[in-house]
Amino acid sequence: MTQDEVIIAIKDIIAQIAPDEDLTNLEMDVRLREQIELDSMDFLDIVMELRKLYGVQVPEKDYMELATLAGCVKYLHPLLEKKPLHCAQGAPIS
Amino acid sequence: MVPSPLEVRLHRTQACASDAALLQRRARLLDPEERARAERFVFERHRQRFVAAHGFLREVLGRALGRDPARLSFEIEARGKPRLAGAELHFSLTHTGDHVLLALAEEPLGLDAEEVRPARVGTDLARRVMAAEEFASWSGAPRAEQVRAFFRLWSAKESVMKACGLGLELAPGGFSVFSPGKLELASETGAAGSPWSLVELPAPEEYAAALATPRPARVIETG
Repeated sequence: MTQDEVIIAIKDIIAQIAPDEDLTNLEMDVRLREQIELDSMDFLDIVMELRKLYGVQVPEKDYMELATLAGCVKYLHPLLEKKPLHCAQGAPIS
Repeated sequence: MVPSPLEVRLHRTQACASDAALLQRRARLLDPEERARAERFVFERHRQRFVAAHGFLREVLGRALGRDPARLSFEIEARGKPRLAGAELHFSLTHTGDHVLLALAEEPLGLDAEEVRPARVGTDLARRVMAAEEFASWSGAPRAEQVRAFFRLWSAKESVMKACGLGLELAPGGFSVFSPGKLELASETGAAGSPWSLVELPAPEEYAAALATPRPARVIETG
């Protein structure tokens, strides 16, 4: 998975959890919770989907690393670069 | 000697946009950083909820402190918990849907409200957020009881995670908020190395709300 595909993977997971949100214009360096309405439970769902889809375990102490899309790429890309992208909704979200 | 209860003042408001004048008044109270944050929301309804909740926070704090609400300033602790700068008044703000709740006290506290959404409740999530004994009690209950119990448990856990300022870095499955063998809130729990008193707050059927304080609380509803 490339860095761009990590972004697609995260957006795809968020799209399942928060289907009413518009994810097309999310800024990379702004906290996700400041751009869309995600609560703590949504965040746990994201972490659980990462484990289910990609076998990635994110420990609680690292949750802050996933606060922004840029943080997600930095933290997740080394863990996902050898794994293929799965899009649960069938079509990648740009 | 029994310690005196911690006095907690609970305020509620609606975040819906039906009162445009009120929303405008609250928007004027926000500082540039809050306004920028409001502007970052993708959807107008989320922006309005943010403005309503944070403007309400300033209104209530200003009244409590006898200060200009627009001139209050906030600091963010290391794990993201906001606090008032230059005042010994603690607060916790929560909103779910259009309901906004705010609690004030002279000691750190955590408040959370959740809308009961059956579609959100699944075994995987429950297993992750519950301690083993909580999951054992919960998984044997009928589905209808499970849904409500899940949100009562979650609002209590989130209130503790907010009170201690750790958020999700405090693993919710690492402490219990239900009494052993029951789907009822215990009066206290231990988390992050401290005891926390728990109170379930009155809420409409489709919501759950809880408060965590460092010692037993006396909650005063102030409207």
